[in-house]
Amino acid sequence: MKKCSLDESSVARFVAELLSSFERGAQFRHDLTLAALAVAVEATFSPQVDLFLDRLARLRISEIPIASRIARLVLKSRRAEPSLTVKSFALDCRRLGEPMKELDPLDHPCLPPATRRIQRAHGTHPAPEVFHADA
Amino acid sequence: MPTLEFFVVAESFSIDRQSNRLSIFNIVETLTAEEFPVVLPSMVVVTCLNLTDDELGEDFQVLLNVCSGGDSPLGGPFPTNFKAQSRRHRVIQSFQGVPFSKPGDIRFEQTLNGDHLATHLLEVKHAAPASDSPHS
Repeated sequence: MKKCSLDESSVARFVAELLSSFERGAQFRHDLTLAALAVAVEATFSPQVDLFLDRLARLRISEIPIASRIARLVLKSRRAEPSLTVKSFALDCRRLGEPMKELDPLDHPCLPPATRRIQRAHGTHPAPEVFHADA
Repeated sequence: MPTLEFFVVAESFSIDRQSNRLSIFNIVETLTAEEFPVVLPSMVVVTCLNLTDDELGEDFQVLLNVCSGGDSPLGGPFPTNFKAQSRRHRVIQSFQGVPFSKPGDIRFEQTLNGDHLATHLLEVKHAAPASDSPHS
């Protein structure tokens, strides 16, 4: 897929072909092949691949034990890298003394003045929590 | 020491749940207001770092300083600690209700374990009041 020699529909056809030999109550003989495919598409992000991995990971049937477990690991890996740290701060507007102007969405300060509508709502900005440097 | 991949100040961000892809919206470069003080409803400071295998598991601290001349217009500094868990790490510092009291250059300076990492410059300008009439 990375070399564009395969497209998503051919992968979907391949999966459908494999599943045509699925029999209830019998070990699925392409279990390992499906697991390998899940690993192969780990770095491919598209709705179809997402759907394939998601559905495979949700399977809880004894006929396909390995592929579904591998799909869960692949999904976990896809979501873990890069790792993320988010920290939120609320600033103390009151330290400026004056009540803040509430901004109309069309009067956003990041927009160029020429495109802004002159319509400002008056009032005070909701009092935020005070940020402490050691938070 | 981790190296910087990118550092940017924007209004908001989104991370796709399926792909873990990061999108950053409305990078804040210039801010204009007719009256001061004015408040930016939300702002995010996004820092993306590359780490080596040797650094995985180590603790790091990024420290954001917001300076204007000799002042710290937003208070702070704003520390964020993290443990390196993968070779690329995103640190997102999110702010609500960011006040700007006067025009001027605002420098967002990020340090990593005390060493300077990156700077983002935001220009806060005073805009002349516009007329209500669209034709004037």
